[in-house]
Amino acid sequence: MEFFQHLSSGIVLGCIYTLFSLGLTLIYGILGLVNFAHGELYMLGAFLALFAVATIGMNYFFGMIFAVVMMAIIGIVIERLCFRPLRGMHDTSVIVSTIGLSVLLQNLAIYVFGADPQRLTTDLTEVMVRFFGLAFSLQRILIVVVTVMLILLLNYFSKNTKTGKAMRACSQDLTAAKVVGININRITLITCMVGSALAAIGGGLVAPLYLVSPVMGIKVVVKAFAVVIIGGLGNVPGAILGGFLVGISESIAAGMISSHMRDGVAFGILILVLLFKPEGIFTKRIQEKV
Amino acid sequence: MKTRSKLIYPVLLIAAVAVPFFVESDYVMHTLIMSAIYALLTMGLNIITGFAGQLSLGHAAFFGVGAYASALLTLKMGMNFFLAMSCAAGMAWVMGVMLGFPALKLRGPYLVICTIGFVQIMHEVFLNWISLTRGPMGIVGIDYPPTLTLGSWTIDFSIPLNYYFLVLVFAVITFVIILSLLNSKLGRALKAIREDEIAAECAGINLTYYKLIAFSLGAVFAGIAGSLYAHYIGYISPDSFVLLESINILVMLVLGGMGTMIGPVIGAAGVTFLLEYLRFLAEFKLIFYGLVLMVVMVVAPGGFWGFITRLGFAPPGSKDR
Amino acid sequence: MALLELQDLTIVFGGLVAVNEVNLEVKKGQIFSIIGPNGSGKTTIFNMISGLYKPTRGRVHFDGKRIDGKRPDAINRNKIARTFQNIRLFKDLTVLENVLIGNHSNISTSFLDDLLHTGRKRREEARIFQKSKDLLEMFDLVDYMDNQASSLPYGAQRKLEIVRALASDPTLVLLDEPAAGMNPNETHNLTDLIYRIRNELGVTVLLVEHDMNVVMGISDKVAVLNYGAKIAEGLPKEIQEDQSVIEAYLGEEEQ
Repeated sequence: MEFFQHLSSGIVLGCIYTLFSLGLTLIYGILGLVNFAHGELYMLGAFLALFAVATIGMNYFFGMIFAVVMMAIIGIVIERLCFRPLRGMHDTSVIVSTIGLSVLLQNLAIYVFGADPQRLTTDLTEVMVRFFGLAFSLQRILIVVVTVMLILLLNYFSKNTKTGKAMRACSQDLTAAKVVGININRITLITCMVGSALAAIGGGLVAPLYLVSPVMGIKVVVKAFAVVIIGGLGNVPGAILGGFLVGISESIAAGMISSHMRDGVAFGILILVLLFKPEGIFTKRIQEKV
Repeated sequence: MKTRSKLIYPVLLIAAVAVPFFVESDYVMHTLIMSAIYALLTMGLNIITGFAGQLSLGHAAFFGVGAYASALLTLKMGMNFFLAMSCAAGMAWVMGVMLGFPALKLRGPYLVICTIGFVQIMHEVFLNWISLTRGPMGIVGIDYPPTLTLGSWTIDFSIPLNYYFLVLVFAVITFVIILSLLNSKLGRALKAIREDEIAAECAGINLTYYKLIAFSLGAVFAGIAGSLYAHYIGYISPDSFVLLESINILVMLVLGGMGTMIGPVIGAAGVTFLLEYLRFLAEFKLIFYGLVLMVVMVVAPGGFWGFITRLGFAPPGSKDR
Repeated sequence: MALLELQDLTIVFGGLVAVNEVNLEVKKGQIFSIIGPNGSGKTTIFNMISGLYKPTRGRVHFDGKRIDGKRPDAINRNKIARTFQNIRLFKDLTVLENVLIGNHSNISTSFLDDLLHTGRKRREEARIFQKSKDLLEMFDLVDYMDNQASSLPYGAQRKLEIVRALASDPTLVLLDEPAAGMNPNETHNLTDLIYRIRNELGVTVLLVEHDMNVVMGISDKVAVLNYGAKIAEGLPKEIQEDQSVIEAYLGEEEQ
């Protein structure tokens, strides 16, 4: 019984990691850059939701929509100002630059919102649902539901729409995509929008469960990197599977062995993956062309 | 290397030696000393990231190991300062090799994430090994190096001017060593690895050996800086040796000019002084940092010195591709 | 005795047999060419010889020693050097530095020598400086010595890669499509240089090339690959008249 409680917590955690990592892996797959500032997008999403609910007085649902829309816009701005100038540049330049973006956003948030953690309360956190002897707050159920819906939506989008297919083409071969007439600028813009929106949804959904603070991004981002690497950089199904793998393992280990193991599990899996299959568990190794 | 640039070295040295004599306030003196310590740190990172091209955010860990080792050896074991510093440097060397190993298998973002993990793990160690490091309380009462007597000269290191020269000596030695390294088999091997690992290997360069050397050498200089830091400030705590500190050093390197000789020195001095004198910026200090990193990488990836001289490692893509 | 010997050399990637039981012998002092349609496994063979890939089956013998599976830097120390199909110069370094790096295996300074700028380091540096300069002179690149490698025109970059390879004093040099992208003038120049490499420097040359003028004009022997297997070997003239070779390049007459 306890096992199932942990399993279900793990699934919720897995959803959060997945939402977060999806954006990260999409941006890597299509733009070719690792966005070290992704945690801050997640954090900003949470703050925007908080702002909408606590300051403007929207209800949670509209607050989330507000946060998502705003983050999508911020995503566009970031793509234009930060990512586009970096296109084609050496790895080092890109990494240093996105680290800069991360530091910038984090401290802007501290300046604007204050450094103290804040609480976002909604009705959903209070209401509990009982299911086969297990208890969940509605918020957690919402997280799972939204994640599943988004995954299905993304899947449909990437397979059945022109833009979705174009995005997949770009993630496989940017030059070939250009050659067949895909507008790269448009696709990268949309990718950033989607990535940021996903991060925002993650942040907004999690906000009522934990405290919202400017440093909440860093705590999750390291895990998210682990997930993305485990699943394979740029590998979308990998990010989903990796997210659940890490979330569930973490929950079960923390619940049934020791809570100190919490962070250790993710790192442990990451180290194993890096040592034996650095391209990711779910990715085929690509032999570098000499 | 253009002759004009070669003149800079003696000029810089003379400036570094002469400036403190014109300094009246203790505050400026303090900033000078910190600049010199950071110059050591940044030169070390330059070997790893600037020359060998391995982007590392783990540097603060080496700094910390040097500081803690030196402090503990002198305080708890009564070791002589210079011996303690040597041991601290040795320990930093070992740490460098440890961080070097992941670099053998990982590239780019994967490696950076690993180095972030490394510095965070070391921070946890400093924080939680309470019996050794006193955890969050830190180590207090670290003494200055003992007064040196050379013939009829006595050098009391509690006097800031003298401490400055102590640090300067190490900084100059480091500079000269790195300068020699640059135009040597070792230095060229590092640069080759940065440019193209496969071509480097086929040209006879053992990647494992040289990557480990890069990390451990960079670590040694950071360890020495750590020792000098601990014995100057007199107090160290785990919070000084965090990811943010690594980012600090990276900013100095990037701003000054990765892959150049003068770049790290200018970057370290420049940023240290800038931050002290723009205290009012303190609230915005990190916002400033973030902006700087972003802008420099796009506008002038070679940093200040790279921009001025068009030398040094301006990452490919900074020029028209 | 053969200088380089490939015995039943095979490599399989996933399900694809990229190189299939290739047997080859290169004698000392030869200029030996490997030709074949794109994708026939030529560069893959180079990669196996130079240690970048490990063969699935088979052996590579060089100068009597077995070298398959050795790491690339060890292969270089065994006096085999190479160039690459897609030029792999050290782009941001100077032309001279690229060649100096080529000397890596032959420099005898130690770690401390390099750090402390000892007399030995100064002597070695002076020695390889002169040697590199002489090599650059031979290839007409010495005027570009202090320029950034990436600023060189394409043909010069290809030559520089060859110079870098020669700097390690190899017994055998593997040239991977050295004439790619060159105009007829440059190609003619290249052909001369390859002769000089063999005649003046005494280096055996193993060549992968598409330009038939170069191949047929210069080679002592030619081997032809198709779909990873050797389908013909012999003198240039024999190869030109070989039916299976013609078919491999032109495809079957029927379809």
